[in-house]
Amino acid sequence: MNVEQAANTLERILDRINESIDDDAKLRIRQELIEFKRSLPWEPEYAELRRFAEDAFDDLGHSINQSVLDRMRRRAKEFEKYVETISAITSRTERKIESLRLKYIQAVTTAAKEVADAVRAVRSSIEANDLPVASEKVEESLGLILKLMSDITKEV
Amino acid sequence: MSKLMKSKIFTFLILAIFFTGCTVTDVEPFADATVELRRAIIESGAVTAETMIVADKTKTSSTEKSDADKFLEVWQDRVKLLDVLLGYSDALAGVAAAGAEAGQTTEMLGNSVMKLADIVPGTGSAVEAGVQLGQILVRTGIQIKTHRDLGQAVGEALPALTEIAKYLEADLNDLRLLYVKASQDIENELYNTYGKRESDRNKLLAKRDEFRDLMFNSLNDTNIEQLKKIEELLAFMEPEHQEYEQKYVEIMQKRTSTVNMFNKAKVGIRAWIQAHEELKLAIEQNRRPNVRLILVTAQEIKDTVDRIRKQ
Repeated sequence: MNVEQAANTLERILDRINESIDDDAKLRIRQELIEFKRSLPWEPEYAELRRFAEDAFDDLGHSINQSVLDRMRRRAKEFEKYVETISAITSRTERKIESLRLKYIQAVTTAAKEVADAVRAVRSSIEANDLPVASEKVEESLGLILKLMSDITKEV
Repeated sequence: MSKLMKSKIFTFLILAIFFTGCTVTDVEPFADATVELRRAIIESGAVTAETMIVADKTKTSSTEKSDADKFLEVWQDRVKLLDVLLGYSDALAGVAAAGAEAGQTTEMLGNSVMKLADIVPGTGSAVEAGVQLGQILVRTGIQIKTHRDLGQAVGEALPALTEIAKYLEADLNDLRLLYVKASQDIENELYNTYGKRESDRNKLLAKRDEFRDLMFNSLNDTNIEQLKKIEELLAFMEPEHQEYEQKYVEIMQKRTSTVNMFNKAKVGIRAWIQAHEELKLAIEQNRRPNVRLILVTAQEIKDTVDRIRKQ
């Protein structure tokens, strides 16, 4: 490739650079500029073409970084409001986990205690050979269980 | 047992059977996929930053802030966002776990009450029936509450997460642009460093071929001597040429696998938001979510990130 041929090749590559091209097109042109430089002989008469190619390569690179970082900064502002939404939902959900744990452990503990008391009452009646009272206490204990469980179910 | 009591038990039994169908949705796969997605996106940012730092070193230093520094400033907010997403998925998994935990507590307490009832002759089975029924109702109550909490959180978060997913996809596309640009800078600098020698070597290779052709026509001592000198020079240049080739292959291989990772992460984001939509539907329809796609995608992302780190 002589100098004139090399200059024509470079011109064809650089002609494609304009304001309307997107960042992917800029990357493609930069790759072609690397290939172009690789194809150039290393003689001094090609030095200027090499420098032109290098400058265009750097300018395109600078333009890519600038537009990408601008876009990412703009997006950061949008992200902020969605992050706030998700953070609020997360905090609310975490509070619910705690309340769920506490509420049920308390409810079940109360239920267990009430039933244990009722069973103790049944035992006392049986020990006193008072079967009619024992029978009443059995009904009472069942009623207690069902009432407590019903209360818990209503709570949710 | 009185008629009133029997009818009470029957009513509760019907309610219990109805509500027992309300299972706690399995949130774990979604939470696990969020961990992998976060890792892939953070890794994508890290690889981009590392490559930009190396590329910045190839440029003449200036007092201005480097592109890598500017990028890292912007990227820090994204890492915070990913932590928020992780917190969200952990909270969902936490609701499900709390439900299961509370259910176990109910069962344990119920069992101890039944043991207590056993010591009362003739009353054991009556108390047992009540306690078992109570356990079903409490467990069902927990499941309904868990179900409702999950449904509420997932439903409220979906519009915001859908937007976040779009932005993250756009981010990954931009990361790819920054990364490939930096990788090209490194490739360009490699050629600036080795190009002159490579060009000399190519000239020598052409000369050697020329002499080889000549030797077919006129074999003489001068030609043989010239060819020997060229071969010696080429042998002298070989280590540097190998070094260049190796570095070039490394740059190009890393570029291919890193761009592949960005693409995988983009697919991962789409699968992740789909999994969230599926979670919402599964809760609404009271069924197990279909998590196959997100599990496969999460594994693929994990494998790709691991490969990048090994390079």
